[in-house]
This record gives sequence, C-alpha cells and structure tokens, in this order.
Amino acid sequence: MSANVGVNQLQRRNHSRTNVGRKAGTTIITIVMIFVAAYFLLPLVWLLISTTKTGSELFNTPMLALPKHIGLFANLKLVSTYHGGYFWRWYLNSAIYATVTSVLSTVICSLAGYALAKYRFRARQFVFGMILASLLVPAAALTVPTFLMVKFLGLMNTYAGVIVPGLATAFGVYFLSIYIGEAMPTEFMDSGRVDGAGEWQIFWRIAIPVLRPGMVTYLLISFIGSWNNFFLPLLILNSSALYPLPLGLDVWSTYLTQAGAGVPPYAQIVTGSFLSILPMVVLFPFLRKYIASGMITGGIKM
Amino acid sequence: MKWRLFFSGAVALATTLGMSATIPSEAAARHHVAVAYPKFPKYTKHVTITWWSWVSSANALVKAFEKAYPTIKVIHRQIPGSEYTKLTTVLKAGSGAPDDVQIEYQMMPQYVNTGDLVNLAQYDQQYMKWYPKWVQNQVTFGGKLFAMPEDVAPLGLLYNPSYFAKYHLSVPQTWAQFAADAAKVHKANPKAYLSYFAPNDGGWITGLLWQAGAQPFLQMSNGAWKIDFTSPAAEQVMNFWGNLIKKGYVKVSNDFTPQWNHEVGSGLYGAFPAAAWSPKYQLQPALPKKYTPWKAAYIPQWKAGAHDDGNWGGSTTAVTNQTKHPRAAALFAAWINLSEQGLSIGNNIGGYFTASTDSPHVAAFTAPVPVLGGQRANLIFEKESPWVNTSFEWSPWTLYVYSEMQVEFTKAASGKESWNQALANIQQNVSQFARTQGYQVVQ
Amino acid sequence: MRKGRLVPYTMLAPFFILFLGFFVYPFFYAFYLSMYATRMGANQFVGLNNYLIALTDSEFWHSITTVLYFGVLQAVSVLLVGLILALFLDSSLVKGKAFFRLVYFLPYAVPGVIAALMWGFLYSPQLDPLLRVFSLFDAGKPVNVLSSSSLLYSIVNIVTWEWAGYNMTLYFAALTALPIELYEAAKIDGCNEWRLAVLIKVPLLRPMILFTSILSIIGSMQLFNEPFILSNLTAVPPNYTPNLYIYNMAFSYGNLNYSAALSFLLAFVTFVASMLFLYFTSGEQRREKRAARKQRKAMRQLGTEKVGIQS
Repeated sequence: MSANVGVNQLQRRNHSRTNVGRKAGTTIITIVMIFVAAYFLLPLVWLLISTTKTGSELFNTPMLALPKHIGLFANLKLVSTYHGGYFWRWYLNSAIYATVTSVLSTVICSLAGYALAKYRFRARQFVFGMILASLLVPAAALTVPTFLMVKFLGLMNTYAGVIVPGLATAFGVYFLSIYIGEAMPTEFMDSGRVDGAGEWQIFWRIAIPVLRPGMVTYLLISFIGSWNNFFLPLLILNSSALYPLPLGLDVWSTYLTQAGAGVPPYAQIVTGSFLSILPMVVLFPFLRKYIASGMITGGIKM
Repeated sequence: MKWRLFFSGAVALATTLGMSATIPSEAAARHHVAVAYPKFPKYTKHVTITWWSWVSSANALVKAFEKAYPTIKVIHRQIPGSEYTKLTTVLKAGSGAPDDVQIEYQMMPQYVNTGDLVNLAQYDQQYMKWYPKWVQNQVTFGGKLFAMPEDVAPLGLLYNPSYFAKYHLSVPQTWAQFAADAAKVHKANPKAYLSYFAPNDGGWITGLLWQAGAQPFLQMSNGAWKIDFTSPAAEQVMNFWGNLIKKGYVKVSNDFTPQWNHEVGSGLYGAFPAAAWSPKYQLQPALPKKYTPWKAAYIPQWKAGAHDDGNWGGSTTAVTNQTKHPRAAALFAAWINLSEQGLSIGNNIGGYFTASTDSPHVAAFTAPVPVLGGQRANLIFEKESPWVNTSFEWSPWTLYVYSEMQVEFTKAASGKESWNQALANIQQNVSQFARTQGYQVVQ
Repeated sequence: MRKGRLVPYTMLAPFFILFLGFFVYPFFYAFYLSMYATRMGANQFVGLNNYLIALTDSEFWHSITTVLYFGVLQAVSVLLVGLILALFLDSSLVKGKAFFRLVYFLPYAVPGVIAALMWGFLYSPQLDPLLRVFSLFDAGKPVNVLSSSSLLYSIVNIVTWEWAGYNMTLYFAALTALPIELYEAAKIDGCNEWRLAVLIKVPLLRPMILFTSILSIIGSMQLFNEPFILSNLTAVPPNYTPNLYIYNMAFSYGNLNYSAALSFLLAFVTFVASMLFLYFTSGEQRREKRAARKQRKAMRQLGTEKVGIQS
C-alpha cells in the first residue's frame, strides 16, 4: 500500500504542474494555512515562553513577550519541590504506566489479532462480533463496575490497578487483526509449516518480523493513549507517589482556588505542563509517520 | 498586658464601627464562664497516622502534636479542592482513606449515614463540655459522637473602608441599606459594584438562607425528611439578590475562581458577606501584595435591630473507619482542637474562629488580622456566634443540594428563570434525589 | 496437527480473559448494580426503578442536551476544520506540506488534561492580551470566556485544537489512498482544484467522514476531562455533562447504583445516537437497496429469480 501512495503522490505532483496562473490561490491558501498553524502553535509557544517567566511576570507581562528575568531555573526548582516534591516521581510513573501498558497491550492484542486474522476456528465469529460491538460502548458506562472490579482484585492504589484494566483494548485487537490480515500472507505460514515449524514458532520467527510496522504503530498509539490517561488513575489512585503527570497537575490546579492552599501555583503548573509534554512534542516529528499510517488502517476499514 | 491589649483593640474596633463600647465587657464576661483547658491522656505506642486537611496551620499543628506525643507520627496531606469526591472515592474503595480527616459540618450526615466514620464517644466524649451545645449537636448523631469540632464560621460582612469612604457609605446595618448602598455605588459609577452574588456557591447561599430563618431540611421523629426550599424566607433572600442583579447593582460572579480573585484584587467590590475564616482563606489570597486593608463588620440584618446570623462552613476533625489506630486518631482530633497550643496555632496561623468557645481564650484568639488592618476580627465573630440560628439542620445530600443550587441559581442569575422557579426546581430535584437514596420525603 | 488446533485459543486467551474481566463482566455487572438501591446501608432489589427515576431526572437530560449541542458544534468545527485542512494539503496549491501536516497534528501528542489547562490559562482574565482580542466583539467590555454562558464554546475551542489535526490526518491519509485515475478523468473534464475537491474528493471521503462522525458522537457524549479540568479555573456545574454527572453521582453523592443506571442509559443514548446518525446518513444506500429490491421483484416476475438474487 505504501508503494502505491508514493506513486499516487508523484503523479499528482506532475499533474498539478501542468496548471498555471494559480499563484493567487496559492498565496491565499498559504496565508490561511499559516494562520491556522499559528493557532495550533499558540498555546505551545505561550507555554514555552511562560515557563521562563517568574510567577508575577506571568500575569504582568504581555502574553507572548519574552521575560526580563529568566525564571526558568527558579520555576524548575519550584516544580521539583512543590507539595512534597513529587513531580519527577510523576514523570517516572507516567513513563512506567505508558511503557508497561503499551508493550503488554501490543503483545496481547497482536496475539489475539493474529489468531483472529489467520486461523479459522469455531469461536472466531463470535469473538470478532463481540469486539466490534464493544467499540460502540462508551467507556463511561463502565466507570463504576471497573472501579469495583479493581477493588475486588485488591489493586486499588497500585500500579497494576491502572495498568491491567487498559491492556485488552477492543480497538487494539480490531486494528491489529485487520492489519495482520492484510500484511501477513498465509503462504508464509504454510511454508513455515512445511519446514516443520510449530504454530508458535511461526508466530515468533516469521510473523513478528513481517508485522513489526503495524505493531509499532499500535505500540505508539497505545503509548500516547496511556501517557494521556487521566480518568482511570483519577478513580484508582490516591497516593501522590503513584500519580501520573496529568493527575498530578490536575491536583496542583485544584490548589489554584482552594481556600488555605497558599499562593496559587500558576508557575508550577505552567512549568510542569511544559515539562510533561516536552518529550512527546520533541519526538512527535519522528513518530508522526508511524502513527498516521496506522490510523488509516483502523479507520478506512470501518 | 494581654488584657489591656485586648481591651484597647476592642475599643478601637468599636470606635471604627461607630458602635457602643459595650462589646468588650460582654465579650469579657464570656471569658469567665470558661473552665481550664482539658487534660489529655498519655499515649506510648509507636504509631503513624495520616490527616487530610486544608487549614494553613496544618504543619504547625502536626509539629506541636508530635512534640507533645513523640510516639505518634502524623503525616499531613493537603487535599485537592474536590476533597469530598476524593474522600468518598477512597471510602468506597475500602482503602486509602486517612485516619483523621477535616470535614465540614454540612458533610457530616452523609458520611455518618454511610457508616464511614468512627464513633468517638469512648475516646472524646469527655471533651464535649468545652463546646457550646449547638456545636455539639452538629457532630452528634443518634447519641454517637462522630467528630471533634475545629471552627465555627458565623457570617459577617467584609468591607473595604477606603471604598466606603470614596462612595460616602456607612457600614450597612440592614439588607435594605445594603441594597440602597449598592444602588448608590452603581449610579455614581456604572462600572463599580458594591458586591457580587456567587451562584456557584451553595454553602455561601445556604448561609444567607440560614440567616433569614429558612430551614431547608428538617428530619421528623419518624426519620422522614421535610424539604422546604420554597419558604417565604428563602424566596425573600433569593429575590433580594435577584432584584439587585436584575437592576445591575450587584455583579454575578462565581467565587473561588481566578476571575473572582482578579475582581476582588483589582478593587471592583466594596463589601461581601463572608464567614469567620474568610479574611485568611478567601480575601487575603485574592488581594495583591500592596492593598488597602479591609474590615469585618456584623452581617446586615433583615429586620433593623435584630440579631440573626447564619453559618458558612466551619470544620471538624473526624476519624474514618479505615483507621487502625482509633485511639491515637481520636486523641489527635481532640488535641489539635482543644489544647492550649492547638487553639493558639489554630487561631493564629490557622486564621479561623475556634469552635470551643467555652475554652479559656488563648492570646491568639484576639490576634490582630493583617489583611483587616490589624482588626481583632474574632471579637466581631464571637459576638455574632450566639446569633446563629442553632436549629438549622443539614441533610445527608449536601453536595447534591449544592450542585442543584449552582445549576438553578446560575440559570436564574442569567434571567433564564425566576428565582422562585429556581427554588421550586431545587425543591423538586432534591426531593426526588432523596427518594432515590431511599429516604422518605414529606413536603 | 491436532495439537495445533488449540493454538488460536491459546493466543486469544490473554486478551479474552482481560476483556471478559474488564469489559464484558463490568458491562453486565453495571446492569446488575443498576437494578439495586442502597437504602440505609441495605442492598435492595428495585428492578428498573432507577431507570424510571432517570427518565424524569431533569439534571441528566439537561446534561444530555448539553453534550448533544456540544456534539453538533464540535462535529462542525473539528470535522470541518479537519476536512478543509486535509483538502488544502491534498491540493496542489500548498507548499511546505510536511511542515503543516506536522504542526496540525502536533496537539495529538498533548494530553487532554494539559490542553485544557493551557487553554484555561489563556482564557483566564489576568492574561489581558488574548482577552483584548475577544473584547473587540463586546463593546470594549472584557469578556469572560469562562463564564457560564460561554463555557461551552470555550470547550469546543479546546476540543477543536486537540482533535482537528487528528481528523485532518485521517482524511489526508484517505485522500492519498484514492486512485489517481479519478483525478486524471476529472482533469480531462476540465475540473479545477475547487471543483475537484467538492465534487470528487469529498464524496469519496464519505466512509471516512461517517467513521469520524461516529467517533466524534461517542467522544462528545463522554465529554469529561475538559470540563473537569476547567472546574479548577472557573465554576463548572458538577452535572454539566452526563459523564461528570455519573462520576459525581458515584463519587461525590455516593450513589453507585443510580450512577450505574445512568451510565447504562448513557451507553444506550449514545448507541441510539450513533445508529440514528448512520440511518440518516445512509439515505443514499437505502435508496439503492430499495431500487435493487424493486429490480429483483421485477426479475422474479420475469421468471429469472436466480439472477435477481445474485445481483
């Protein structure tokens, strides 16, 4: 499929060159696109600039003006020590949640997707139907029972309580089964069998190398999903030491208006927000391609 | 020395407010009722307890307690703004709740009803005599004691003297005068507002209703609840504010938001009804570094010369049933709220009006409040404290009631429905909610 | 090979066990919970009573209408912005496509909580410059974009910022997958870029637009993070959206049973909304099917039943 896209684009570029006298259109659209880009960048640029401002400058200087006093280091210190100094711990927690969830989820969903895509067995239709139906059920419907389930398993306020409920996603299996169905020729499996390889050997030795791109896509989507996860940690966690970044920052922001919480922690929240999106935003240009190419597989087939 | 200071302060205060000088002697008279500070038992087991609280004196209280009881280690946690949601969540989760927790009076019935609080009677009943009867009633349910009161919070009026001077206003004694002042200010300067109405704050509005004699909840002897949001008193209060809003004399502004802070900090308002803890927890955080001090005065009355007041907030220290050390937790709850040191820290660093009005007054009780230009504000609130209508009752659904009030009063404040309609809707929805919870409701 | 028969089941097992435990079971358990009420600490079977109460619960239905209205606004802004951007990027008129594609998609990497916080700060009254831009529209008076009357639109903006690029990426990917012959044919017919976009590309994107619309309906019905975070910065009613109401019903008001009933009802409403949407947007297909049925009927009358069925 990717080869096809390349040819398409190449041809399209040629086809457009034959048109002339469209400079006006180009200019107008480019200006619009630049404005839209500015809109998308505005909060991020503001955040970057604000991180370097002191708390009082945050409100007394124009929004996008560069600061007179560099408050960055003071802010970093504030962030590192505010309310028990948990920030970097939250950072580590977010990394743990996202890494463990995405890796395990990729393995679990790939196995299931492979089984659904490549084997004909009795329960196949039933399982597939169930997965499709569950895609339409909003997660909100499961708030209370998920909470009680985690309680029943004794996983309240633990890493596992946040990780385990998110491992088996219907989207993951659906996406990977469609991808595997397309990307993994059944002949590969047959030739493997002829060579005397067992089914599991075929999966590990033959399928995985072939399927790596799709699995990486899902891994990234899953990583971003759990890096952003807020609702489940909100229900399950109550120790600051276990919070992921979004939950920690939410708790800080409740101190903005809370009676008795002291000076509103604007600078801490701004700096904390900046630090918490930094790795993803920096890595995003390199990851974008994988994410986008995966989304289309999940999307187009719907 | 202490006495003289206190006296001169009170006189100065009385002069500022243009009141007769009888207050200090009355206040002084109350001091003599006081018995000695309670004595607390020894505790030698090594334990660690946790405490959720948002008072600014928390760290100081913990330090003092740990010094008095070196074998008990207390871990304090500043709770997020949505405290009760977090607390309910961990109580339902069966783990993660603290040993001690700060709970306001209005939330007591909910947690008592769900069986989440420890009956402290066997540990702390003997300390109850330091509290006035009505405060005891607020933490006693079915003969069981469920919390140690920390502070009470009678309503007063906070006002900005320089703002009042600018518009030639005197401190309003009645709500009618308050309304006239609001009109005067707005006519003098259409961009200025004497005060605001906060439709988001059910607790604050309840305090105002309480003052006017409304009684939204009343439990009958058979356990059924009489819910009454449409009483003449409630309609009077809401239409009073509604009219001021409609005429544009009072601004609609949600309190405890950055927007509200900004408005107060930039001097938009000249006065607002507030509680005893407001100077420290509401006003001070909103004011910029340089400010002209405010002052506290008595709450305006509906009838000239009357002495009626309501309460807004006020907290207790309760012990949750997840505790493994109920005796230590109960001891902590009593000590921080009744020991001389605890009271001292609470009044001074805590900046609240301690509930044990029958204790001897610690010096800090009359400490000058910086944000009020050194006024000894607790004397005002102490005078008002007996004015509070003590037959007021809380329902076990306060958070739902507050949500309802926010929704309906926000609608009314933007002109989408009448204030009487808003009250009728609250009446209906709260009644229905109570029934969902399995309670019997009579109108 | 007999041993191999168990392999797909073993492969499926880890997923299936977790799926049963954290999806299927909770789903039915929620229904079970919703049939009970806790009365004075005692669990009591009440049948469908909680649902009957919910049907007349004005708070709940008000929150539903709020998110439905939000959903319409959001669909228009998120999907339309995404679509227009994708068409721009796919046209031959724009340079620096890689840059724009990246920038527009970048918010996807920002957690919703952080996006809400950032915008919440940008909306806040102390940050005058942005508000001055808004104040142009309101006779010089500073507008509070977080006031209860404009809160919904402020959230629409946050959600647009978060998701427009995501949808743009989906549309763009779908566009690049379209066969080039179509364009060639259109070019021969003398189509310019605009007509090409409106007459050829948009109709071909239909399945993708439907797909993203369904996602967007489900997403709107579940709106939670943005209003929840903004409630730290302004007054947001605790029953503002169905999900907030469900959350507060369970964890503020402490009524797990009624909360479960409400969440089931929300799932049902979402399902119905998605189905209705599909029904109304598939009018064309229905007409085609009806035509086919008629054709079959006609053929049957002509005695060529087999052919008809196969067609």
